[in-house]
Amino acid sequence: MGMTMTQKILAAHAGLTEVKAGDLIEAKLDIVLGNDVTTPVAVDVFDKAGFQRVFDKDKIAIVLDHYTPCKDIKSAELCATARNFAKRFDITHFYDVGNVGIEHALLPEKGIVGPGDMIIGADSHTCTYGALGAFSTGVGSTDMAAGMATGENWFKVPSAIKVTLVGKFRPHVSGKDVILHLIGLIGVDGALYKSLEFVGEGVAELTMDDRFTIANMAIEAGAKNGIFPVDDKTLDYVKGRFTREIKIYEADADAVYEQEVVIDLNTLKPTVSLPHLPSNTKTVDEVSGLAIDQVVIGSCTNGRISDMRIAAEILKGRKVAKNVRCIVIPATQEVYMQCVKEGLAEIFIEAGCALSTPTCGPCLGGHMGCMAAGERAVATTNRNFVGRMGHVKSEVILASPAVAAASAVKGAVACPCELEEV
Amino acid sequence: MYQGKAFQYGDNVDTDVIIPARYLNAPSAEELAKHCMEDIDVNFVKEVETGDIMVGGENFGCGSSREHAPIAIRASGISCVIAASFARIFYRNAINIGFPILECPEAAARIKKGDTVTVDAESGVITNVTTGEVFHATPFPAFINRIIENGGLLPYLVKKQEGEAKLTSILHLSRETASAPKSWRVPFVFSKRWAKSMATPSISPRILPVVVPSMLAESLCRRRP
Repeated sequence: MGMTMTQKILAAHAGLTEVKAGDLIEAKLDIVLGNDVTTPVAVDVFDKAGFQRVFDKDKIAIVLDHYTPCKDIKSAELCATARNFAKRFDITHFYDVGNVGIEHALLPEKGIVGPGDMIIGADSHTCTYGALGAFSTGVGSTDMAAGMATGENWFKVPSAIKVTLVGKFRPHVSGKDVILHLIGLIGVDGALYKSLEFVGEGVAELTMDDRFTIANMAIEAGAKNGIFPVDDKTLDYVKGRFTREIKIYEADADAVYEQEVVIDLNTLKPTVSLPHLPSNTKTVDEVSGLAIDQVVIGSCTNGRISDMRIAAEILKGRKVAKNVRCIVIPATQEVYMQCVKEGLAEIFIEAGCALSTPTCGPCLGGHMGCMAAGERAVATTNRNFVGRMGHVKSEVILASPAVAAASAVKGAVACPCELEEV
Repeated sequence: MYQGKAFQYGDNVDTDVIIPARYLNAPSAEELAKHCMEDIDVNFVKEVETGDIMVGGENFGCGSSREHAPIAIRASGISCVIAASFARIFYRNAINIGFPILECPEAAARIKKGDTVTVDAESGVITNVTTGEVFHATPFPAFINRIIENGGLLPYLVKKQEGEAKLTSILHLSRETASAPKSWRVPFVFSKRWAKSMATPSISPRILPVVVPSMLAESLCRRRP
């Protein structure tokens, strides 16, 4: 029986020639990841269990991105715990303020993860690296501790949903619209325990940044992982970054899928998710004009250079609407520097945006943009749960960078096509 | 056996309402517990008593990977969670920290807030004492009960180390564990071949106790139609 792409990677890392959905396997890990929220819990578990060393200091990544630069003393204590652990074991891929980036933008950029890898991370959006043709999934802190100690973990081989992309994007539509549309179709638990495998001629239409955005939000449909085939764009991206051996896996022609979904990129419109579930999707034209107080452009979902360019193109020569705060957060130092070099930073500041050092901050209501009761944001982030960006009575509308930037200018949910020429 | 009054919530109870991110920098489980569920039920922390039972609908624990979610629920006094289905990372995390959860759509649909409920985690029998209804959840394999009894995945692993080559080669047992009675040290005999064989539905529960739980925790999750 044929295997899906995910199943092939799992089989290879378990030293097996074949696996099928439902199999229980033990697999070797290429990278184990944690951040400043989850690593301290893992360190506690690791130490209490009596582990004395890590399996491979080059295969662990610790990224202090959530509450950094530290918002308060408690956060500083958490970072200190993670920092001391990294120092104790001389962790190679340790990133702190000044060279940190949001983990899921940072790891691909630094070449720490690449095609064919098997990755676990104590952060639910670890599924992002599926964009590179890797198996990558979010776990908890105890799993992280077990992974750091042993270099292995246990998995149940998932079945898969095949998502076939066809056609080409129309203007102002991007990867974010694809994933929001898909979550709207199948629901927040539509892919529970399954892989989302993206295939079809439409994949070639997607930039790597589009693919990162799509794979990133696979978890928002409950998926174990989201994955893309490796093509020339993937290889171009990893060239000069990823130094380990590139392993390309392809699904068998007779691979078994539990469900198939076809998305015609031609028919997609700019899409948003209304409060309080990512599956609560509408096209922008259905909700255009809804008043907002804040815009956030950034996060592990949409803080990459393409996202910054799209936002800057719309904000260039325009101003953020009165009574709207627009916070722009390049996801990594490299993206930040690129924004400076390309003049995007100037465009953001001229438009009246707050431009921040990389942080997850507002996405999880941590800091750098929490909202008061009754306030509403359009954000390029990934979750719009109750209280996600601050007060329990605040609201988050998920959108693409294009829609977020246009909404910042209009002071209400808007499509870029509604803006007057400048 | 757990007994307590039920706190009933609906579908898609996410980790952001279980423990909002603004409290994730709290230094202890007790501190986390003070804010458990506050964004959807401000009275929860005032009303919850040790032993009480939380009930959710589909996809309980969706969202973030934060292990703080099951930690906060447990520290609030809740003895176990019953739901129609669990999000995958929450499920793994709960078992890994030794916190009992049960999947039972019927119980999740029928139990009302304030009902007195008893749960026998070993057999999976859930009784609504208030109404007299009895439900049957998928019982935990014996090994998961052992994880829970041992306080989680890593304490369990530590006690199971001897005989498991890969893990023992890098794990240095703590003094306390190393001096544990021989009888605790059940040989760890799981292998890839077993992994393959265990994938079939006809697996005997008798061989399960030697398996690391996180994967099997996953296997317990009910397939959605």
